[in-house]
Amino acid sequence: MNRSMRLAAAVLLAVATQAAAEVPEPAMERLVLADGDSGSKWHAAEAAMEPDSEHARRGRAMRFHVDVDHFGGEAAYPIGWPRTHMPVPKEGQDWSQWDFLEFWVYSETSRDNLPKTPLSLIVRSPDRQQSFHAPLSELEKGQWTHFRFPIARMPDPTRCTAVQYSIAEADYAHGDVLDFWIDDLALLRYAEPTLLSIRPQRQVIYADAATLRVEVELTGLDEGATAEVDVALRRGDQAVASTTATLPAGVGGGVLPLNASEPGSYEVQANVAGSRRVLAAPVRVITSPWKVKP
Amino acid sequence: MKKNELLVLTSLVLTTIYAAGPGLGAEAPVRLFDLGTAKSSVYEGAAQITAKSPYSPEAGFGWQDGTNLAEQARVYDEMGDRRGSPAPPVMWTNPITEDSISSPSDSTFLVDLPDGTYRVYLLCGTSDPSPNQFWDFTVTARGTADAPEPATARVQIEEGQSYRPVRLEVEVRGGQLAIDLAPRSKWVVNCILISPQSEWARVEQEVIGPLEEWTFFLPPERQQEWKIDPPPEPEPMPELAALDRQRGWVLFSRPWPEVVWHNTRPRSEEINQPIRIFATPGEYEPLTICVHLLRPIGRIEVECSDLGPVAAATIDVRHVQYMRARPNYVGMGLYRIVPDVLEPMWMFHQREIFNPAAPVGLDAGVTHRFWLTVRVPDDAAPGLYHGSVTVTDERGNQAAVPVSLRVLPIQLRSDPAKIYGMYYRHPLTKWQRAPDEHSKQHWLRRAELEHADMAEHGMRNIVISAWCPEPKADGTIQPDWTLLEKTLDLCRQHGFTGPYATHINASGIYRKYVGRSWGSHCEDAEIPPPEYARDLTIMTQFIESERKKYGWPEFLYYPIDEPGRHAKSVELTRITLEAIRAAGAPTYVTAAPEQEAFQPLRPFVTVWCTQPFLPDRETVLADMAARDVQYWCYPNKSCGENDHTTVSGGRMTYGFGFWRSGFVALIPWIYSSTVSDPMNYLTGTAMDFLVRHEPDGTPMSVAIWESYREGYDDYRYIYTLEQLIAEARASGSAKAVAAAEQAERELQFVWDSIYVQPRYQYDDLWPAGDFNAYRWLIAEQIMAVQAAMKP
Repeated sequence: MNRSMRLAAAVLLAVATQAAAEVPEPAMERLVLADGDSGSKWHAAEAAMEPDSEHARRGRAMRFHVDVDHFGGEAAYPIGWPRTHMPVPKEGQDWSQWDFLEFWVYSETSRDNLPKTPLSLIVRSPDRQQSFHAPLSELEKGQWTHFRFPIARMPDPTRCTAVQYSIAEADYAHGDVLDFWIDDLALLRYAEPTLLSIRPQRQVIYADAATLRVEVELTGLDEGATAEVDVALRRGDQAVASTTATLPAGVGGGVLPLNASEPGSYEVQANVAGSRRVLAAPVRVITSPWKVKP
Repeated sequence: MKKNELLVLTSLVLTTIYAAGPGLGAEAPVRLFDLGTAKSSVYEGAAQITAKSPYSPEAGFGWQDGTNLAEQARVYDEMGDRRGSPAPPVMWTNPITEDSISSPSDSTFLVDLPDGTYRVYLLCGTSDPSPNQFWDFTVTARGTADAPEPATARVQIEEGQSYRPVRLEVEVRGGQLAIDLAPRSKWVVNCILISPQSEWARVEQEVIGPLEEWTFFLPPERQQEWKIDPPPEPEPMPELAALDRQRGWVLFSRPWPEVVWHNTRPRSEEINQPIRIFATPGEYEPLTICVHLLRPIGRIEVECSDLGPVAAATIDVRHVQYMRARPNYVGMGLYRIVPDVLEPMWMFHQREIFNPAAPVGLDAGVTHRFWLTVRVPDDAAPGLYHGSVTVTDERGNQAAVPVSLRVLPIQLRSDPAKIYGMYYRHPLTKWQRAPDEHSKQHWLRRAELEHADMAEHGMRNIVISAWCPEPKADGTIQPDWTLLEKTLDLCRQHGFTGPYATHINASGIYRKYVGRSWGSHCEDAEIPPPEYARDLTIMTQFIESERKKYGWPEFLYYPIDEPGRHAKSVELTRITLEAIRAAGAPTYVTAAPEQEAFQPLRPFVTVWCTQPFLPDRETVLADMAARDVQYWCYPNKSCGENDHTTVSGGRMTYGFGFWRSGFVALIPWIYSSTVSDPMNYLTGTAMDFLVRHEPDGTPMSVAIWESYREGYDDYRYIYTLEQLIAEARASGSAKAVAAAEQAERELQFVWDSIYVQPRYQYDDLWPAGDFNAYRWLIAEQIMAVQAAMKP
């Protein structure tokens, strides 16, 4: 592939993958929702959405084309929201058993560069307030960008009725021409117990704190199944505190017992028992305001 | 409300409520009197009472002296409209609430009754908007001449479309009950219900309960149109100590910026743990204690002991009231039960009066949070002090947790270059328009209380209005500055400082030349003739000359709010700003400068006020350095444009996030905004915002408002350290310079720890407990630099 590529993972995911970078990612299952051969699935308003091979990861991608027009379009909103959406079949609307929504976007424009919010993603829910909105701010002109959104971030992943991409014409000048090639829109999930994220309940703790709760997000488990997760507070090579929690899928926690830690930089680590894939997050121990020197 | 719907509601009680009439025997039936007009609906089973219903022995009830009584009726039974979309009306009336009788005079309602013990229930309020009225009166139920103490209640209600129940218990001896209504301004009543004591429990359940659900929540059929969005799934219940189980409730504490829902369960490491805070002299500091109920409970008392120099009596103890709130302030059909108002304990203990139809009771499985605010005296000596918070239930069971307070030897400084403000609906407008002197004094007092409250929360700026009529043909303007002068006087008294974003009557000039309004956000804008700009320049020059003549602070002229992005709106805004600048005055516009559509405004804008912290810090600082422009932020998403649970987001917005943004001012919408009933967020086109009020107008915080103060304090810690670092570097002392360098490294650590976002709401924030830890890192460096600078 001779095209430049850039990874713009969602923020939470970045936390998870950072520490696990050196270990291969666990096996994942994948369900393609749309690719370059999905033309008939898409509907467009004030824009066009057609299969196109000019830019594609393989074969063809879907090309979302917009001629920005501040005076035409819907009468009530001449500066409107050109958009395209793909309805999700009723039997596939429950995404709660998946971990990520993934897709790729290649951007071209008549402008020198893209505005702060060049394109937005909406995963529609029957209840508008439960729809998931995400600005695709990482897009850059002339580049492929990879997006992966945790399903857990969606307000209601059980009723995902459509995937929509849109722009706000107010973010562009009249006459701008935009093309976004969207490819490999898919749902992903881990096929084995896997930690998605680690989040110590405190990132800065007092030296006399008695405990530290560490929350992890666990996936890749069958319904009702549990997995053992090892959690430790480490300073350099030394484990200062550790515990093992038996957790079901989802967000759960383990409580590390602490005992008068020395101020300094530490790391909280977690891994599924037996797995080499370790997630880590920094923790700083600071002096206690309530230990007053005489 | 349709009558057949009423039948459903009241069918259960038809057999027990009797329209009061002649021929009373020895039995004591339930009496319900529906007060209002002769033409309005009458509650099923009630007797209609109008202003012309005098007492007669034959009727057995009526007004003792029916002079000076006024009737009112107004029905709200259809959906309203918000910019073309359906929206709830300001209230949903029922036959009781749709009409009322009121009077500015003493009045007495008489009812003949068999002797006995009675419960008396009144519902008081009006469906009329009554926008400037303060209802303030005393209800007294007299059943006998020799009662040791009359049964009385004071009722205070601001404006209309809001209701308050009265509940009294009275002995009747001599065959007659008198209900006296004694106004300080006016009294207003919708219904009077009298029940024998023996019937009371049933009446409360079958009559009052449904009536209050309807009045203070929603009518039954409307409730079905709203779906509840459940709170997060609670974590598993930890194993409890035998003592906690026996007591039937558990104490735990959690950092106050973290939301505690009614279904929140304690975590094992949180139960019965000490609470620890630190603060500087003169600083307010919150702490919270949660009570998780394992059984239904009757009453909860919370007391805090002295904390060294902080006397127990000065510690403000409040209950966090759960409210039904819309996730988005203009949302429809979905609500959450959220922690919201910090009500004083006396209101919590009278929930049947001040929170009827409450969404959460004192039931098993429920968590209630109590919010304590400590103010360290200005002269408090530094040191570590200890005390406790004790919780007691109605059986006398008690539990306590230790509290430690560290008073720091720091005098916090405020940055004069930063503006902490807020949009504000001024009670002085109501003061000016109030129909009676008592109401006038109420609004004036409320304005004073609110300014004191704002100042105590670190706020020193509001949006004001310099409204004056458009220029006459000869160019002259005849203003009435009464309101503006009083507004500025109040600001001055409370240490507020300009510049003030100032509304002016540009829309009046526009209407004069175009013949109609420019519409909401200029949606109907047309390009006005040149005379519009000419008159606007004349008006601005005039206001500026008056401002200078009277020595008023600087005004930022704010002619249009949130102009739309379509071409005519932008062009009208450009013409308007240019006309103001032609008068030599600065302009203020609520628009996003990075949006292409607004680029034509750029040369004429003095202050860009944007909703997120955008543009980014580098852009903002570069632009402000290059030309005469400022960036202000109105972070509504961390204020009231949500379900009021962005408490952590609020603290980040108003403190560390503000510091990191490079913006000059914070001025969110809005200190308090109320549509009809201030304690019902599901009526009206938009949800109510931020500060609520006690019945007498005393401000009542919501948690986000406390996050404003704590954010302000976070920034004061930062600013104090920045100043000390500069002073230490300038001192020439090697020891002081070394301390300053170490302090800079720590400040940089805090700076780097902020995950910068345009809006701080729910995601990617610091853990709630970390805010104080970062503050402590800064405090520690302040003390270190101070020590190093000592000779």
